[in-house]
Amino acid sequence: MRITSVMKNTQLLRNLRNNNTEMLDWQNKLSTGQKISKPSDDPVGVGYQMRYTTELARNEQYLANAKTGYGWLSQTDSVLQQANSILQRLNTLTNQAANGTVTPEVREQIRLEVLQLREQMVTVGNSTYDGRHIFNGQMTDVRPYNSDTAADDVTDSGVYYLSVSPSVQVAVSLTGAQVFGEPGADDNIFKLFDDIAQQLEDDDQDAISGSLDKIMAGIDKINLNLAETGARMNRFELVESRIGDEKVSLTTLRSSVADVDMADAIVQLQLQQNVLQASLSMGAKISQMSLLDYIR
Amino acid sequence: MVSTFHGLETSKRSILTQATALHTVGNNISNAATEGYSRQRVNLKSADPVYVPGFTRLNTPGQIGTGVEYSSVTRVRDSYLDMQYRRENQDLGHFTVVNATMESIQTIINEPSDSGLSAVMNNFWNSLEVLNRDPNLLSARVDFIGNAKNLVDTFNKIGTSLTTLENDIDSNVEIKLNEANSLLEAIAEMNEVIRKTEVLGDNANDYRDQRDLLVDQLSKLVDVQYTEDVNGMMNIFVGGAQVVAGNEATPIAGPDTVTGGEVSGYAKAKEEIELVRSQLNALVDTFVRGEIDITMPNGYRTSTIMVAENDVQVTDANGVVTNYAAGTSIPAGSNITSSVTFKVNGFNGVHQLGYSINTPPETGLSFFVSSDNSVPFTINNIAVNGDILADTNKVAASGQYTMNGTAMETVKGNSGVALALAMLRDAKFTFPSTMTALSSGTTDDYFRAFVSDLGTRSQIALTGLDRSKNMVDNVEIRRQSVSGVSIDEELTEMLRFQHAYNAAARNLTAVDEMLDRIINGMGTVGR
Repeated sequence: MRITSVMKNTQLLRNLRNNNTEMLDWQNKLSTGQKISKPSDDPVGVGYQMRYTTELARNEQYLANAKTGYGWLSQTDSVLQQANSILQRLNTLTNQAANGTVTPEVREQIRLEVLQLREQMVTVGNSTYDGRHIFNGQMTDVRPYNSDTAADDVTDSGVYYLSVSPSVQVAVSLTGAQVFGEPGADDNIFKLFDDIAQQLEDDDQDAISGSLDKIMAGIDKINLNLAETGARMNRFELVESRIGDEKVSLTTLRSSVADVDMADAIVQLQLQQNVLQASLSMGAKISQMSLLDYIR
Repeated sequence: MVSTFHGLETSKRSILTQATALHTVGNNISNAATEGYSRQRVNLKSADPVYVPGFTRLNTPGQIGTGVEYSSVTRVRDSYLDMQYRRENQDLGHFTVVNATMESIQTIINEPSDSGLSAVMNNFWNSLEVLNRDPNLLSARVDFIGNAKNLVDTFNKIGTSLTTLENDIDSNVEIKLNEANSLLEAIAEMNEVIRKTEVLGDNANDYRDQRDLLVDQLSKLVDVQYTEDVNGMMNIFVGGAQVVAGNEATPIAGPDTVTGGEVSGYAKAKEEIELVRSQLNALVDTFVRGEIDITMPNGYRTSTIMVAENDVQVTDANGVVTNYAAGTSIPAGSNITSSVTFKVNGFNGVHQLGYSINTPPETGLSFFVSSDNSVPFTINNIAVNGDILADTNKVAASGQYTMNGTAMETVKGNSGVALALAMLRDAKFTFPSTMTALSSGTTDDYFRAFVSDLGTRSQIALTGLDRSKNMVDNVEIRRQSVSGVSIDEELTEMLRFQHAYNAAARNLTAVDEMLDRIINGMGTVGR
C-alpha cells in the first residue's frame, strides 16, 4: 500500500486527537473526583447515584424529625416527673389530714397548700415545648387548662405524628385526657384536687381517706405515661442510630458508583501522558524524513 | 534509411516529453498538500515507428523507433473509494449534529449536580417534612414556598432553554441548506466546464478534482446519490429528487426530504428535544394533576360531601361514632377519626383538601396554577399560585377545623394535609405509557429513569459519532493511499525524468556534432 505524506499527517493528527481527548477526560475526572460528569458517561450508574443522593437527603430530614421527637418527649418526661412529685406531696398532705387528730388551723393550712399544688398542676398541664402546648393534641397554639375550670376542660384528642422513614409515622404526643383524665370524670386529677380541698373544708374524714386511693391511682397513671414516654424516647434513639448507620452505608455505596479511584486515575493519566509523548516524538521524527534530505 | 534529421527529431521529442513529465511532477509536488488533489501521471508511450507497413515502405530492415510521446495526462483516482467516503461522510455529519445537541441537552438538564432538578426536588420535599414537623412555624412556611418557587423556576428555565435550542437548530438548518444549495450551483458550473473540456478530447483532471471536493463537502450536509453521464457531467439526487441535471441546479426543496448528513441530523436533534420536553411535561402534569390515592392516617374533617376508598369511622361532637363503608357519601362537616383514603388529582388535589390559617379559612386552593391558564401543565406554564405566594398563611397544611358557632376555625397545629403532601413523595403515580416504560412509580423514580434514558441515548449518539469518524478516517487514508502525492515517489520520478532529459540533450549534441561533420566537413578535401 502506498504511503503518502498526507496520510502520515492525517494519522498523526488523528492519534494526537484521540490521546488528547483521553487525557482531557482523565484530567477532568481527577480534578472533580467524580466519575460521572454527565448522564451519558454511565446511564445506569447515574440513576444509582441520584437515588443514593436522594436517600441521604431524606435521611437528614428523618434525623431532624427524630431529634425533634426526642426533644418533645424529653420535655414531656420532665414535666411528668414534676407531676409525680406534686402528687407525692399531695399524698403526704392528705395522709396527714386523714389523721383525725389534726386541728382546724392545720387543716386550713393543708387546704391552702393543696390549692397551691393544684395551681402547680395546672401549670404542668399547660407546659410547652418550642412554644407549642404538649398536652393539647393538635391545637398546640391554645392553652388547654384554665385554672378555674381545669377539671372540666376538654383537650384536643389529636396526636402529633412524625415520619422516621418513608410511610412510617411515630406518635409523639400524649393527650391531656391520657395524662390527667377525661374532663368531668371521677378519676380526673384536677377534680381530685378540687374534691380534696372541698373535703378539707367540710372536714369529711371518710371522704378524705377515700381520696387516698384515688391519689394512688393518679400516681399510677402518671407512672404509666412516664413508661410510655420512655419507650417512645428509646424508639427515637434507635431511629437516630439506625439513620447514622444508614448514612455510612449509603455514602459508601454512593462513593463506589460516583467517585473516582484516585490511584487508578493517576496511573491512567500517566499512561496517557506517556503515549502522547511517544506519539509526538515519533511523529516529529518521521515527518521530517524525506528523500529531499538525501538528494544533492 | 531514415531522414537526416531523424536523430534530432527523436531527441527533440524526448526533451519535450520529459520536460512535460517534469512539469507534471512539479505540479504534483506543488499540490502535495492541496485538499482533494489527486496525483497526475503523464502516460508515456513510444511514438509510432517508421515505416508504416504498406507499398511505399523502404526496403531496409525496420521498424526504427521515433522516440517518445505522451498519450494522456490522467489523474489517479478510485471512484469506488469516493462513493464509500461520501456514504460514511453522511453518517459523520448526521452524528456530529445529533451528538452536539445531546451534549447541549445534558448541560441543560444538569445532572448529576447539586443544582440540578433532582437537588431542587429534594429540597422541595424536605421542606414539606419541615412543615409537617411544625405547621405553625412561619419560617417553615416561608421555606416551603421558597422551595416550591425554586422548583417551578427550574422547570420554566429548562423549558426556555429547550426552546432556545430548538430555535438555534431551525436557523442552523436554514444556513446548512443555503450552503448545500450554493454547493449545488458550483457543481453545476463545474459540470459545464468539464463537459466543454472533455468534448475536445482533454482530461479535465483539476476540474474533476474540484468537483469531487465539492461533492465531498455536499455529502456531509445532505444525502447524495450521483451518476455521471456520457458527457462527463454529474447528475446529483438529494432525498430522491434530482437537484443537479447537467449544468442546471435546482435548490433543495426543504429539510424534510433529506435523509442523511447534517440536515437530517438536525431533524433528529429536534425529535430528541421534543422527546425530552414531552417526558418532562408528563412528569409535571402527572405530579400536579395525576390521579392518586392518598391516605391520611390521622383522619380528616370534611367540608364538602366526599367519598372514601376505605371504611371509615366518623365521630360527631357528642362522641357518637358512625361507620361509613367504602364508596358511600360522607356528609360535609364530618369529623373522620380513623385512617381515611381518598382518590385525588395530584398535588393540587391534596392541597385542595387542606384548610388555610388565614381568617376566614379557605379550602380548595390550588397550589400550582398554569401561567397561561391552559391545561395540561407543562414545564413552561407551571407556576405557584400567586395568592399563596403573597400570603404564606394560605398554605393549607391543616386537615382539621372546629366550628365556633357558624364560623369555621382551622386547627393550626394539625398537619394532616402537610403529611399527606409529604407522603406524595412515595406515592406511585401512573405515567403515560407513551412517554416511558415505567408504568407506575414515584416522581423520583420517573426522573431517574428519564435521566438514565437521556444518558443512554446520548451514549448511542456518541458511539455513532466515534464509529463514523473512524470509518471516514479509514476511507480517507485509503483514498490518500491511491491518489495522494508521495514526495519520495515524485522525487524519484523527477530523477528519472531528469536523467532522461539530460541524456536526450546529450544525444542531441552528439547528433548535432555528426551533422556538423557531414555538413561542414564532407567534400572539403584539402581545405
